[in-house]
Amino acid sequence: MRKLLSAGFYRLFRHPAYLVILLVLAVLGGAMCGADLYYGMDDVHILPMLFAFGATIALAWGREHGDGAVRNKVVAGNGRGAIFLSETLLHMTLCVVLALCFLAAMLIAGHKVIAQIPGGIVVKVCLCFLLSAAGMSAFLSGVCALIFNRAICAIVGVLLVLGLQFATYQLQDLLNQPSTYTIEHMDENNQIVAVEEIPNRLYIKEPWRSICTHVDCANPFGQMSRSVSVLNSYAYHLGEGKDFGFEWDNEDEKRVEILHTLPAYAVGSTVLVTGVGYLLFRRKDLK
Amino acid sequence: MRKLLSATFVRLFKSKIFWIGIAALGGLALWATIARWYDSTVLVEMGYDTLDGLLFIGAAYAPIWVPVFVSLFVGTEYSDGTMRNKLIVGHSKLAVYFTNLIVCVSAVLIMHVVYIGIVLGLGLPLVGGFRDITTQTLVVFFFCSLISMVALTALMLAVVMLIPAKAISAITSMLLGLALIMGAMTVNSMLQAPEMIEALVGINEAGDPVFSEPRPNPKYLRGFERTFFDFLNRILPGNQLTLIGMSMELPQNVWQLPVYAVVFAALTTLGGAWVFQRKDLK
Repeated sequence: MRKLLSAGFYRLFRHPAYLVILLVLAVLGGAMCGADLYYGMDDVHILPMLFAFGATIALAWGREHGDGAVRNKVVAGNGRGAIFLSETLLHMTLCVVLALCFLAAMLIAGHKVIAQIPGGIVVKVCLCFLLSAAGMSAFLSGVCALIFNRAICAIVGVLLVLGLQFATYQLQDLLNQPSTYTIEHMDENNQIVAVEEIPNRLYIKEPWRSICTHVDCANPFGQMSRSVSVLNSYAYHLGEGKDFGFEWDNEDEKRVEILHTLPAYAVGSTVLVTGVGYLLFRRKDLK
Repeated sequence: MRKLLSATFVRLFKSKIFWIGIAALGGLALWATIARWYDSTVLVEMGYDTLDGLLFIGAAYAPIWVPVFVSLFVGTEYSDGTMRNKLIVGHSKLAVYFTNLIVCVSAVLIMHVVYIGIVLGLGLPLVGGFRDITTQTLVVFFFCSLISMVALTALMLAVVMLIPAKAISAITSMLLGLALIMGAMTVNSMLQAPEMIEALVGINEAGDPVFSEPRPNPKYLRGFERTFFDFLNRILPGNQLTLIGMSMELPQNVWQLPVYAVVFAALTTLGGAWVFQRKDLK
């Protein structure tokens, strides 16, 4: 497997221009994210880097299958499991390095805000973010390894990132639904005459609430979104929130608490996805 | 060109990707309508019993599904050598380009109309009619969406026709589509930032909300910046489709949308055809 890995890294560095584009995307996203921390960063800063992950991994697997490289490696005596694991490790390394560049740029650009956040929290956020990047690459690699058609593989790679993002938004929207909502009845002068509290039937109760939370925490996009939102909470309370007199509340505390469990979710989902991908790839007919 | 057109249309109606596209847009329409119907029955008091904001969701997501269709449908011509065969039997490069444009535009418009047809056909009896959006607005937006779709398809076709590798053209056009959507959302939120901001700081004894003193919003765009981003919002197909998908009323100078879309489509088609004509197809 060492030979497979060294060959993979050699192939990766044969296209320095592409690597530079990836690095620029990650650094720009991180810098914009850091600069916007004070006003509230947006997922839009992370997304270009994630789409770059999707495109790179899909194209790499598409090329491996299209050029017959996988078959050649098998013919040369390498096991299918070793081929799958070496490619996955290669992609994981690339994604973690890019995520590291993103974080470095974010920390530099947002240093004024980040310096006021407890160091332990910043370290935990960075750790969660890096593990989530590894999870995202494992997920993409596991799916793209099973698709032989290069163009389909390329499209699926990008759509997967979109799908994970969409799943995160849907789940977080469901989880953030209030248990009740208020209806205000107005008279003809627009004065409130009665206020009615009505139970929200979209509010998810147990056990579905725990299941949805577990699924969201296992989703790499959800992990990234949740980990960066902690920095966002701190930045808000140091800036606008402080000006407007908002207090640190339970919701903010919950966001911080989840940092203790997110690394376990990230490692667990990475191992699970890699394991399933490994098993399916070993059984796949390479024709 | 007539023969090319009829052959390409035959290929379109036999193509799996076209029918998958129809099924995907139909599925999206079904899902959106049924979700709205569910919301309207579960959250009766919240007033979800309307089709407002549902009719152009398919159009707002067009920068994602149009490049998938165009890259797979046209990319096959490159990978299977069909493009070269067409040239060998005497068709001009321009005829090939415009044939693909006409067929792709027709396919995209069919998918768009299928989405709208299902939302209207299922939504009107199930959910009810429109409330805050007028019929005139709907009709104007429908025609604007058709022209914006043409502009978007022309852009994606230009990208796909100039990149012979099917996987690379698929990735490039999809990333371009995603950049258009993300750009549209960013520009929209920048333009919609209020000039003054105030925050809810508490509730008084009477139960009324108390707001802080309004203060200037540092993110509010002024002068040249505002004019520039407003121009981008009107000329880029992604922005046009997002505007159509999210608006409840006609924007100011709505006539600019189709005019800019036609100009955009013409420019990308002319540019794409010009470069394609000079391209070595090996």
